[in-house]
Amino acid sequence: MDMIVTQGLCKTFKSKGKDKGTGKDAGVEAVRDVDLRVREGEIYGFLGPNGAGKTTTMRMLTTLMAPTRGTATVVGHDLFRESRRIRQDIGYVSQKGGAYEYASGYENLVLQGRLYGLTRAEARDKADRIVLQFDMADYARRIVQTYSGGQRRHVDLGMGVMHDPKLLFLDEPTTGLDPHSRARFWDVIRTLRREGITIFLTTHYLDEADQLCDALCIMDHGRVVAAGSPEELKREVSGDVVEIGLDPANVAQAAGLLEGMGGVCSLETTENSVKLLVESGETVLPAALPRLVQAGIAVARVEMKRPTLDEVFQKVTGRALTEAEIEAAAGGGGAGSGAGSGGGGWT
Amino acid sequence: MKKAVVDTWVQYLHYMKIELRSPFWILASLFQPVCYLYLFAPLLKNVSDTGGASAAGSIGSINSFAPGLLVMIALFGTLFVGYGMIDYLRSGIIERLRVTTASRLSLLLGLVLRDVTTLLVQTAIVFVLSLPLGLVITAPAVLLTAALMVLVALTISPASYAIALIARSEDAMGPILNFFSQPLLLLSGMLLPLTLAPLWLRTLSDANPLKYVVDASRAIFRGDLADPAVWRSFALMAVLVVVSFAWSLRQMRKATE
Repeated sequence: MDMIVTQGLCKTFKSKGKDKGTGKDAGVEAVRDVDLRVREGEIYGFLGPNGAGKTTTMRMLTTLMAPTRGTATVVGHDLFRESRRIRQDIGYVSQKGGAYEYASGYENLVLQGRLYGLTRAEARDKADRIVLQFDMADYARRIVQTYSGGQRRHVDLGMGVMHDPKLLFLDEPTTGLDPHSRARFWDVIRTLRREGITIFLTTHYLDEADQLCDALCIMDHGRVVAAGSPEELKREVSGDVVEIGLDPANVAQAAGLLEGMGGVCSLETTENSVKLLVESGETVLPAALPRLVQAGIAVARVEMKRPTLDEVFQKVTGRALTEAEIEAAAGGGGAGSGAGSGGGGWT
Repeated sequence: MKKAVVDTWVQYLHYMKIELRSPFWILASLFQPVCYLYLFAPLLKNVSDTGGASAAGSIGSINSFAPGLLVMIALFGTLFVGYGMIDYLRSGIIERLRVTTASRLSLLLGLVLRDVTTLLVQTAIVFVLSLPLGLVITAPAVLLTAALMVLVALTISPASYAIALIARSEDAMGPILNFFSQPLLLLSGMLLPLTLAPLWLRTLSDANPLKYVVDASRAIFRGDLADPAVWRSFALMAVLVVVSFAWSLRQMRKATE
């Protein structure tokens, strides 16, 4: 079963002032015609600069905000009519977390479980298990106010899974965490996925999307501009670069052998290596190396470089993510701020 | 229905537990009533002793002052609870709670019932502290007064949360609360009976719901439980409770959108 399916999902906010040109109250289109499909068991990444409409989309999918139009089902329930059922089946961890500062992590967990209909015994039992699983025993009984950023995130995440949701929403889960805490948090998320929880997370860290997610989509100016697995997306942008290091004497001969091989898009040589741009490194390399070896050419080293999500982002949006962040900050975070939307030539 | 009751109860217990962890604030909240009882009430006795209007004949008595003081505690004890809501809003608690299967009403009721409880404790303390000052009151009158205080809290506390959800910051909240609290206080006759007021001021005070509460609680303290002012104020407050809850629930939905 698909965990999330949306078609043409839109959110238009009433704008405070009227459009200067037409005098009409056009509203701000924060999210436009978003089609999503999240499969069961995936870690799905929702990527984009601040103000792209990620959080708005997530707030619609978590029943906090009513969509303006479109259709959507979440865990098989209609988003427009069955928000109660959706709430029972999803967990949501917002950017701010939302733990009570003056209660302990453990108390926060138990209360959250109680609000989802667990009995006191069930809630305590589940909280005990989460404390063990998330390695929170050292601090679970202290009040949250004393926690570090990483510890807080563990409590927030624990609250999100107290009622064993089928689908867990995480809004910018690792923003502001140090690299060590981030890595630990990723481990916990992977553990949850192994337990069968589908995870939908927003992020503006490309490396996070790359390392953690099975599938992702890139959002910009309220639209989905690309979707697929990280590998697919990267392959669409450009192929892999394979570099084979050789004795300088053999470079010309090797280039002759490899030129025109299936899957090789282009080839260039350096003083002591041959560089190939290939569609997929894992199909070309096993064929290329025996050719060289049969011709008696010794291979000194082999390197393969895949394109990064940064390059993907740059291609589909026409600018680097860091630039988009600066633009969003300068433009007051307006998602549909008109000029330049869809400017990447991506349709 | 059963879930709503359990949700409300669970949250109420949670908020009470947190409240009881900082007993300093409970003690601090008693400071104001103690000051008024022992530092202000004696002044009124002298006002009546030095003659004054015949209508003021009873103001020297604690039985006239204590009802006004109780309404004042009810007003100021519950008007500022919204500050906590701003903190909850900012730290994402309201948003998190809204995504659980607990209803908005239970989220609000958990907080409001805590405020009601706090007020009842303060009310009880004022009764006890008034006894040495010569308060004479029957048990039914005490219960009826407490019920009236509960209605006041059930009106003002949700309204304070609604204002907080609109204001969204402590800086905006302060001036708004002052704007409401000062006229509500001065035009209710809490401190001095409005019988002393000129006609225009009395007419203006007719628009203040708390005036009817003060009138009713004075009647109750006189032992005149059948006074029409009593049932009228109960009816008025019952309507206001509903209005206040409806407003607050609406703001809670809007605030998390």
